[in-house]
Amino acid sequence: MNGTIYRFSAQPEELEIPRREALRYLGCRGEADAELLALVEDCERELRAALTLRACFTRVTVDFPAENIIKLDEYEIESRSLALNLRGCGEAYLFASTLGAGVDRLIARAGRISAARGVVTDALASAAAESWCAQVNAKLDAGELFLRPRYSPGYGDTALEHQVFFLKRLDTARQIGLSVTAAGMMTPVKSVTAVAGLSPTPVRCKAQTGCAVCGLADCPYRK
Amino acid sequence: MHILDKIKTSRTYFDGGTGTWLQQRGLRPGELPERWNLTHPQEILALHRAYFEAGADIVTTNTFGANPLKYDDLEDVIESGIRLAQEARKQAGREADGYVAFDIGPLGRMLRPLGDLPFEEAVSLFARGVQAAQRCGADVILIETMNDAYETKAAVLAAKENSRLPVFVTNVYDESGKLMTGANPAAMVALLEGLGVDALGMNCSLGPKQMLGVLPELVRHAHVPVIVSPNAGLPRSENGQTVYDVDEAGFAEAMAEIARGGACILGGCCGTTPEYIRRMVEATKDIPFALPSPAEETLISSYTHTVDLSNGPVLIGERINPTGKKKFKQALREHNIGYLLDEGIRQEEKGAHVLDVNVGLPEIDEPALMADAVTELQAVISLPLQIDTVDPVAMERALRLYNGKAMVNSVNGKEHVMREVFPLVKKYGGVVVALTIDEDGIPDTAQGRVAVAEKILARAAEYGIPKRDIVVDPLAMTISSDTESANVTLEAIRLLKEKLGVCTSLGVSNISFGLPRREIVNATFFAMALQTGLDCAIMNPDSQDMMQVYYSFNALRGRDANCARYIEYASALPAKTAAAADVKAVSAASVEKGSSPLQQAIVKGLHDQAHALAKEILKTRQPLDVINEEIVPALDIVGRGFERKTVFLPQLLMAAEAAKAAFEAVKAVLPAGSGGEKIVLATVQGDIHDIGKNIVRVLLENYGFHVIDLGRDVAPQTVCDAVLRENVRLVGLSALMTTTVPAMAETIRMLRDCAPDTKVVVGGAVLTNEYAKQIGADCYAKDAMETVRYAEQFFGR
Repeated sequence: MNGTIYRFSAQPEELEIPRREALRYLGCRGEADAELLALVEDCERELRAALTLRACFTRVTVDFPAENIIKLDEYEIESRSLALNLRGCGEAYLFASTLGAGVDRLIARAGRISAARGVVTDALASAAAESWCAQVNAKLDAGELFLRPRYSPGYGDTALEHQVFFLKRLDTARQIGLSVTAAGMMTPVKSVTAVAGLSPTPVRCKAQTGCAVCGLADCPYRK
Repeated sequence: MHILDKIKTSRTYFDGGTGTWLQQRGLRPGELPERWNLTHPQEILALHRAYFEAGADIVTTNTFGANPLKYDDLEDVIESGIRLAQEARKQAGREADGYVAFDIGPLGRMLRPLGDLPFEEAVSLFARGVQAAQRCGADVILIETMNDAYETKAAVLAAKENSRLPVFVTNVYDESGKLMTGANPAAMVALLEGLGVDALGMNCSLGPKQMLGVLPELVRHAHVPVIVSPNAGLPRSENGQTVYDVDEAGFAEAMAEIARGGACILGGCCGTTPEYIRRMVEATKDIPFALPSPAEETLISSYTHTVDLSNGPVLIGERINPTGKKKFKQALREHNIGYLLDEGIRQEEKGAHVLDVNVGLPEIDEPALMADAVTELQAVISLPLQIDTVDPVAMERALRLYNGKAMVNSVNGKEHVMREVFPLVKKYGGVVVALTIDEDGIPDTAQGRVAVAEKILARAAEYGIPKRDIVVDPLAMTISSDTESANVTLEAIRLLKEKLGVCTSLGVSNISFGLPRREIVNATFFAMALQTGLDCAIMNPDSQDMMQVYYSFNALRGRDANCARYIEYASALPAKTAAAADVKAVSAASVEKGSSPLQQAIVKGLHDQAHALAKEILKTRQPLDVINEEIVPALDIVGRGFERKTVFLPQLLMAAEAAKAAFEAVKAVLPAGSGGEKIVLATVQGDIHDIGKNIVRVLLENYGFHVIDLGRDVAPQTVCDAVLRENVRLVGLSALMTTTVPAMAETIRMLRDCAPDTKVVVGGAVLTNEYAKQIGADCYAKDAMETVRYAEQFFGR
């Protein structure tokens, strides 16, 4: 692979912010009352104004030099669940998406104004980050091949540390202003990195994605 | 010719891209390009030589990513890089008119508060490269591809403090004309010219056509030559090679337009090659050269935008100041930065354009507190700040850490003050408020005050500080001791504008000191001063009288198109008669209702109503009864609902805040008391997320605990110090990531040593009961309510 990195951006109004998903993150079951909905609406308006939607992606080769070892270009990852996800793929897209630094500032500020506003803004931003990531994912052109469900470092038995490879390979600091702290947290916080395999056959792999791949069975956010 | 003479007298050319050239010669994706200075010196030499031969005047060294985070042998990589560029210059026969720029790119880490890299550490990391460049004889330092204003400032300071080389800076703008962290071109010009850079501009990310859209903003404000180095358009993959969509001819054509648009220094970035540069030079060399001629304006900036003081009136919020404020003083003594942030956010929402920051108290470490205040304020507030202190150490700390070009309050005509303040303004940039007072005191006449101003301007000029960076405050003195004083001040404003053409500022409310109902006099004086030409007012944005003057003045003077801002302001004013507290019937069947209107207001999270109802019932009931019979039972209803999952987190927090509002009403009539049992809260070192910890704080406070919140990314020692100093028996620690749990374990271990009787409750996304036990915590709380319950049980409530 020659490593061409493509950038992709969108206007804030083009993003769907799934409110129900945000309410789910907040632990809300059933109907939210009018006061809460008013707060959610207000926070959503502020959030939209703070969004700077950016993403970048590139194509890498996928190789399996040994059992449960995956090679993305020259980089090796040991992971059973990722091997399952990418089984049969010779190539993959790496991509990263972010809502931008303005959202981090907004969440900090909202939390100062009121704790309720802080958690609601944070939850809406998490939902927006997922939604933006899905939008970027949908933009990836598989051509003659078939796109696998996306998979992020930290899923299943894939160590979160591999995230650093994604960020370096995608030159995210320069391309979209995304970097990582010494403790391994992405900044801006509301960002996603992922790999999506390109498979020659449309056969659905048995790889699990999202919540199903996670071992935290009693997680309150589990779908 | 010295490079600074060259760029001021003729169009100057940078080289083009490096990455494309190296990739074509075998650089692999992910491989560090600067390593090639040592492993493939001939390729690098050939690259530089090709650019010199194509007509570039300045070649940039292959050191973009050469920083101590990436290279253990940094000095070798840099020295080799500079030598190769120098050798290429020699081989190309350009020793007389070619220059070598030491190239500095971003560190790849986000600075605090958005990230975890401390500002001063960033300065030190950049300094290592600069020292090497100075030693090896580079001609200029080019700081490029910076997409964050704060990191740019760190790099410029490192360059200035560790070399005498000229400094050029280019930033990365997106299509909307902003940096990734939000700064617009004017804000970058203000920041960079304040720091004394020799040329500035933009590179990377955009193609030449898109940069044409950003260029006018740079040219309009810059006093130094503007640099433009675009990409060759957008990249795509073709037959396994990365190609760009603007070819050599298209690039040259667009660069000609950029040259005509006022750019003095031209170059290329990603995707451009020696051929692009050759064609660009060819297409632009005959276009007449001119330095920018910006409008005379007095700009200050934050990390996002500028405020033009010469196009006011500008409102400077005065509330972050302890003078005469008991609660504020208390907050400063407790290092309660949150209190300052609340004051700041409120003033921003009320319409202030700039915030004055004064944290001076005799018994505190003002430089340390000023540094923290500036850092935290600029994390949540986008307004420019006015650094207000008489302590030169505090002033320097603040100006250094400030992410923009600050306003400085203040200098005056006293020689020793000018000698302290002007070097700081010169080094860090800033617009300084000059008080018309000197060794002989405050002149009685307007002419006398103008004379002091003239003296200050002359001294500033000797330091290289232009008139546009001075705002004169001719001092408002109370009319209660001299009824002529307002006339003198107003006349001084008139003369300052007419004779000296400087911006003016006043602390407006001083005019009424000692009089009853001061707001009446203040508002009238404010209107008079604005009419006389006052540019900036240090005032209280909470004052409705003052804000009314501001909005109506602008409308009356034709500064408010269609009176739109006045109408918006006036429509939002509360109706003349205060609405009676009106509690809607509680409809949600799942929520216990509470028996009284106050309890209902709290349960429903109706902040203002809870406050109003509490004030109302305090007329007939004892304060403690209101707490015990109204507020606490209401909180319990919500707390039980949360535990039964009929009340959700945001509702719990809304109720907590309504309860807090009710508490405030009660506290106003209670004698100052103990304030509850003390609990220290902190998010552990390395963890920059504090939303969970903040939720816990709000709830604990509402259950009457005295929370000492140490913030986020807190070192273990800081936790121990607070526990010992405040004699605290319960500590709450939060961690969000598995990677920061070791820091939590370390904090607990240190607490066991220094305060063995202190209990520790932990929480956070990655923690479990087992994990908590393993790291030695006394309790794991799965949510904020559990923390409250544990605290109640621990303190035997």
